[in-house]
Amino acid sequence: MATRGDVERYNLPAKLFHWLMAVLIIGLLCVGIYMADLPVGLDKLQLYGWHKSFGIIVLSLATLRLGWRVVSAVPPLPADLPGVLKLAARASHFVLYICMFAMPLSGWAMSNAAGFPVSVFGWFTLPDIAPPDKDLRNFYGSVHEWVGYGLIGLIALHAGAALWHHFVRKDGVLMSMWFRRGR
Amino acid sequence: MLLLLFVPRVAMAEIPAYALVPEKSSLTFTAIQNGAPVEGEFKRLTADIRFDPAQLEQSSVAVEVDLASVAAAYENVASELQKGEWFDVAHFPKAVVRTTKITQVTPTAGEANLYYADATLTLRDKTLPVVINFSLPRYTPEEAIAEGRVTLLRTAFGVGQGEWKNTDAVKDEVMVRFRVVAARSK
Repeated sequence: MATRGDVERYNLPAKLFHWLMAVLIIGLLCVGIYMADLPVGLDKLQLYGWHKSFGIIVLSLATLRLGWRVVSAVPPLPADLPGVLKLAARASHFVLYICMFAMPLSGWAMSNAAGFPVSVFGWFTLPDIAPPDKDLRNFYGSVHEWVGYGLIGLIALHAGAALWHHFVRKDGVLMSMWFRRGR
Repeated sequence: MLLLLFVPRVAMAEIPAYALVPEKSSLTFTAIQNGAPVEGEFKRLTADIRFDPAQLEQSSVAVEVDLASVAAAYENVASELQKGEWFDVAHFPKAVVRTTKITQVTPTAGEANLYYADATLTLRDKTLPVVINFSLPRYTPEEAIAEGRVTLLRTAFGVGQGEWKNTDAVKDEVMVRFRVVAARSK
């Protein structure tokens, strides 16, 4: 992992990854919760199709993003941030990365365990990572659901902390991830 | 005595009848939803098979499929398919296939035992002609095995009513595959 230091802000690709995936992930969480409760019907099937397709997009972006993060410089946490909050920041970012992979992977496995291979917008179909099996379907379904709820809480915490850094501590943390004229 | 020479050869041999062996036979289908294939099968079917490759003109096969025996990995799929918009099992419990003509495909190198059957398929309230390609991997006096496939257009039979006529979400083409293992019955 690139050590923090060296730079004041996140680089442009990191920012693009961050905000693009934020929009996609929040959208997926909302659609996921909504679609799961729909009665069987064409709209439900179509939403599931979009959800799975964008989920795989997020998985692909997460992979690229992780690779980028490993090789690029990352701004340091504010020097005067209490140690426990530095730990909380690192831990929450780490868990967010875990979720970025755990959600699409558990969704993919759950779909396969239900007997539905995952097609990405009808362009191509992914290989199966789980066999059709009712118990596996329930297992991955629970993982997908509960990691999803945890992710919602974590996103709320993450966004809340960013706003706190910006409005209360005024330490430039939010701006390090925001777009700004002339780096 | 000499008159017997003039008696026309009345019968060819009687066409052997075979009875389906359910445990060894299968009827599966693959539909495409959201671009991804989903498989299902029918667990209960009966067949009236009279077949002799040397007497194709007299051969015939009739199959009845109990549509309520539809099964899929996701049980919701199976229960949905029995409803009114799909198979409508309450009104049309059976699908019936009847061959009208069986033809052997002219063998080319390495391709023996290929046939196709012109048949009618009755599904829901529609009876339409279908062509079923099959091979005959085994044909003995005791046992016959046939494997084949046919691609059906589900909307032609009204399978998928109302909003489900949309063939983007669930494609029109459904590939059906079968393996029939049958034992000689008489």
